[in-house]
Amino acid sequence: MRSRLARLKWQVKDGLHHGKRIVADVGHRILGPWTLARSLSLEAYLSSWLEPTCILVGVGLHDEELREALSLVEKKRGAHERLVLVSNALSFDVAASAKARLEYIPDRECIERLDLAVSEEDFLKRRLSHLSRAYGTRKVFRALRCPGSSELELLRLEPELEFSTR
Amino acid sequence: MNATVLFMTSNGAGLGHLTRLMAIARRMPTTVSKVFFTLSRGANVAIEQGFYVEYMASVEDRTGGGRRGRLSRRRWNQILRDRLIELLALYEPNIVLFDGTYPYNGLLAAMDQSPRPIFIWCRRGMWRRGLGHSSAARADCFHSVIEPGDFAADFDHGVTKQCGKKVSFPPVWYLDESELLEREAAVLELGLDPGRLCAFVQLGAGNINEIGSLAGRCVRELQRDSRVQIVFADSTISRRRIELEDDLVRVREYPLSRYARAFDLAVTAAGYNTYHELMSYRVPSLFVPNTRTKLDDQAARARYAEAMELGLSWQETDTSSLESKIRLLLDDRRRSSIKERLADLEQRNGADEIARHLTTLLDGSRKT
Repeated sequence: MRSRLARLKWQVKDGLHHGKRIVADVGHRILGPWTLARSLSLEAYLSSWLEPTCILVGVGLHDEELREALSLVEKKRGAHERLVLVSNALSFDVAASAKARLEYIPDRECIERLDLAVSEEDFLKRRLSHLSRAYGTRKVFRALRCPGSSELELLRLEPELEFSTR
Repeated sequence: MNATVLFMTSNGAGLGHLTRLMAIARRMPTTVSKVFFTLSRGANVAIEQGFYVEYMASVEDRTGGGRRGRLSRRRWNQILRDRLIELLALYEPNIVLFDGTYPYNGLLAAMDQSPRPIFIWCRRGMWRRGLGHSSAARADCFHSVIEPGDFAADFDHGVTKQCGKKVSFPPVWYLDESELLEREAAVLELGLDPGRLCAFVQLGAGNINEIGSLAGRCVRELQRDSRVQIVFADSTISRRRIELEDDLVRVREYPLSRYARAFDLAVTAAGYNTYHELMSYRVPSLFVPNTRTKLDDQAARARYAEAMELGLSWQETDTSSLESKIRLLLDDRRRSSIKERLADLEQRNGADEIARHLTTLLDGSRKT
């Protein structure tokens, strides 16, 4: 399967390079037609097959909570999935201990200081959409502490993605 | 809407790239929005200095440890490209200033798809002889190249020396002399004895070279002189702590140059920032170059200091010992002579001039 996908990826890229419109069949999922402009999404999509990734959003959590969230997500991700931790703390040690890749996101205070015309929630949505595309994954969890509870909860998110199957 | 500059840095062995860009950014008008996008683990330093920071782990960073987490170089470049395209759309910078020795494929791909900003490469010289040709050739992809100067430029035999397409500026350092603590205040804050000599030891982050045994030798030799007290700098991006004797002051903060007036002598690596800071603040220093850097010719920088009697230098291949060089530095007359020579160095901070250059470009870009 892996070599077939790698070959397909090469063919698709080669086709795109020559400006062709492509319809590709990847493991019974039909992609396309694709144009050069959408090649970024296509690469990510194909990568999602070759390098599956699970994203854990730990925005607003401190190091101990991040550790707890990472242990929760261990039960949800596949054995071969890369783990990406999204946090607004640069918790290198926490990420390293879980063999996760750290993706930092500025916090509300920073966003307000820059006077961006975007709310923190929209900023997060936009960034998650970007990360999902970049890593080619829909598997995104957000760790949240529920009001009145001492335990963290994992919610499955559905980020908007540019690539879609049809 | 405010004019915006996106300052992008690679990771590097220390904080050189980040420090240069912060030095420039803090000298630009407050009306200009500054966004940092760094691949350096020193991102925290920029946040603490009050900058707006975006971070992405570098390709060398093994944070996502193990086979499963690690990205291939190609895949990393794709993600970098996508991230940059996203950041350019979000912050709409007028200028992107990249400081690093290698413009990544991901960066060039994003530049290719983003016609609006002016892309400038902030590229210091002093590349090691015969290395970096393919990297230097990437200068053509940028609108312009600016080169922060180097006191040791006469010993620069690297590929960038002959590159025509560049605008040269004086050396860059973070704090102006007027921002340093007075000696009394610095001594007090560090908890030092004002009646004793203070030796500053800073041998780099130690992430790409082993500095533990070197640090031990420096500390032991300095401690043989009863006049000396030691301030040992642990890098803010160091991944492991060096085990040393207890009888010294250890500091891990940024910028350490605030305390420069407390230092009577220094034993340090010869990275761009430390070298220029110590020389411009006239601290007699023994430079021990890190020879494991990819491109930065620290050895040439150190040799220049010694050849011009602006400092001392030592490396493994020298016939003299590290200890003998430290003893030379502890000689009062030798230090006075070095201080006199350092006083003759031109003291223009290139960060001011680069900031003005960028501001002029911004004004121009907003009119068109």
